[in-house]
Amino acid sequence: MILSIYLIKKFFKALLVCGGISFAIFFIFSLIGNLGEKFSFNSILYLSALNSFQIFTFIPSHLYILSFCLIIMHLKSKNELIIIKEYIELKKLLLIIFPILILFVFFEINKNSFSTNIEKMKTNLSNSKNFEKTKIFISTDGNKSKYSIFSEVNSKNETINQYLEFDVENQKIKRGEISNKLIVQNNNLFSKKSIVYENNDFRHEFLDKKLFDNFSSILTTNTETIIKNNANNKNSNYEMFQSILFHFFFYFCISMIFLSKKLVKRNISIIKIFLLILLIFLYHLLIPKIMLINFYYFFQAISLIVFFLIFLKTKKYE
Amino acid sequence: MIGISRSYIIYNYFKYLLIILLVFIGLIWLSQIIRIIEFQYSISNQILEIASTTLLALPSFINPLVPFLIIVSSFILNSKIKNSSEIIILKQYLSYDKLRKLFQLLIFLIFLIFTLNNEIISKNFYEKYKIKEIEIRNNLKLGMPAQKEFHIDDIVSIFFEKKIDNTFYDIEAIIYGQNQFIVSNSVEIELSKSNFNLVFLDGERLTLNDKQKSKTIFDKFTYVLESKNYEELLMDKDHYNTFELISHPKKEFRNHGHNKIFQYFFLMAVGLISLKIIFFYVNKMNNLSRFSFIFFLILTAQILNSYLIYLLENVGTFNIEYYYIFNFIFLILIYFLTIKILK
Repeated sequence: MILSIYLIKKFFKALLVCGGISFAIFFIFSLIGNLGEKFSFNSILYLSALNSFQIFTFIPSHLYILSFCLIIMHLKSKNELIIIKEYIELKKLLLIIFPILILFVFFEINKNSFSTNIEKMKTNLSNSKNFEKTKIFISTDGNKSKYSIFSEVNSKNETINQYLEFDVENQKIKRGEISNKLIVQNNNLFSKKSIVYENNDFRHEFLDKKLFDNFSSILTTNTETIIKNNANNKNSNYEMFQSILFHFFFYFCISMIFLSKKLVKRNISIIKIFLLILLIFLYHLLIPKIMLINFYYFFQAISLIVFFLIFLKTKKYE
Repeated sequence: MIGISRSYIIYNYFKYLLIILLVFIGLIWLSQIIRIIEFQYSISNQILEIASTTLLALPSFINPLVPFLIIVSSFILNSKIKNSSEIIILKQYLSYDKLRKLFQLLIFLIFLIFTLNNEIISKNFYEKYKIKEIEIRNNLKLGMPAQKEFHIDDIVSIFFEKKIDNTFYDIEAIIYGQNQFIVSNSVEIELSKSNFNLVFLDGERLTLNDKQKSKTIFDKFTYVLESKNYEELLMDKDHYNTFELISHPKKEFRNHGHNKIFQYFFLMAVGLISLKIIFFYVNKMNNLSRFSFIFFLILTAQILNSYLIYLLENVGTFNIEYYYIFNFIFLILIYFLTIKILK
């Protein structure tokens, strides 16, 4: 138990050191770049800090790897690694770091939304207002799709300049609607006057009409410009499951390599291990970015198998 | 023995400096690649192109970070030779005079590499980077899209089912400025010298704007992005070396030139501090808090320098003499404070 607490303490200390150094370096890098911006110096500092945090959201795994490197270097230099490996077997070591691993997997899953939020904060700072040019809501159901386009949306005051709607069925435009007189009431969007295209005819409507349900909540919960609402969300569940497994195996493999028997030896080839970790790191970083139109899920499944095989290979040696 | 220990320190100093440099510049490089990919609705087959282009910008990214990388690598080297008790042996073999000569040699080497990078390498690479970057930015607008959709700025969004060569099929498209919605069998991209053309085939178009309300069925409809000219190359501060910057007609560029001059002095001070760090030894003492404080001081100096550049550009009464006076006073203070901490 004492050893577990010691290791966790060491990890968090290393995480703090690596996080601090990385933040400082990314901060200076951003600060120099932002000096030309026409903001106050405080805003430039704030913007640089946001940029630095955004780099963390792009590559959170670097903190895990650097922290592990630092711990292993420290433990090895004091010959503590041999003692730890002697007293605790790999399974128990992995159990000790399991909560940290889960924390990083959680961060990986949510990194896109963290990054989008930071991007939104940066945009708010540069625009000095909560203003977005366009927001598009797309809902699809079989052969039908509906495009709702909100122009000049101010999420703070809940105002919107123009609403456009197009309904498509079997590759034909069935309906269209435009309204410039809009109000948001009780979370919903209403129009006072609109022009509607339907059945090959255009007509004016001067009624108070509800155009969109839960408008405000959709605005606040979705930071991206294009919001998709598919009737069939089986794929997104699969993607989430695949993503959790993918990140979990990645962090597990990295931990196993760092805690393996090989690293205890005095005459190990550091370059070999460094290259292996670098390759796994780059693979983990690039695979989710590759989008295939066909065989996408097979491709992602192969990446899971790759990590699983690395895990088995490292485990076999242990 | 003295020669071996001297080369041992030089080897390890540059080894750790190179590792830290590769790690952090590598991370910045990766973040730049990911950033471009994330925010341009792209792209699978252009990753290598983006990677090779952003690689050209790395020498210019290095310069402001070098002092920090030197400090971090000195911390690591100190920790290594302290934990293996090599520091005691080295201190016994290297007298004050030998150490001073070693320090001078190391600082000279760092200064030489930094100057070469600052004045020649980064400038040349940056010119190539900017040209490639503009090419990529222009191409990205029509790059191979991800997630069956692509967007050309705030002008057009196209959603499709499949793509063969340069033609997209089963199209639903929004043209924002004219409030147009198009459904068509296919759309083809035509690139002329300064325009992008989108040729829609077999479809229908609904227009709902103040001037026009119409629904048309077409065999062929060409949408020309007239205002979408290719971006042109603009010269920025990284295109020039220190001398060119100092004599530049624009005040902003001249200020950047003075910043570059100050960075040489800053690097020298940091180099001296880093050598003190390497040989710092107090028995059974954890140096983390000391080193963190030194790192914080160096960071503060760089932030202060940025603030002074900001004042130079935005406050009329703040002139170049003040810039150097404030910076040097702070730098000297930091140097002596650090020496005191490391005594």
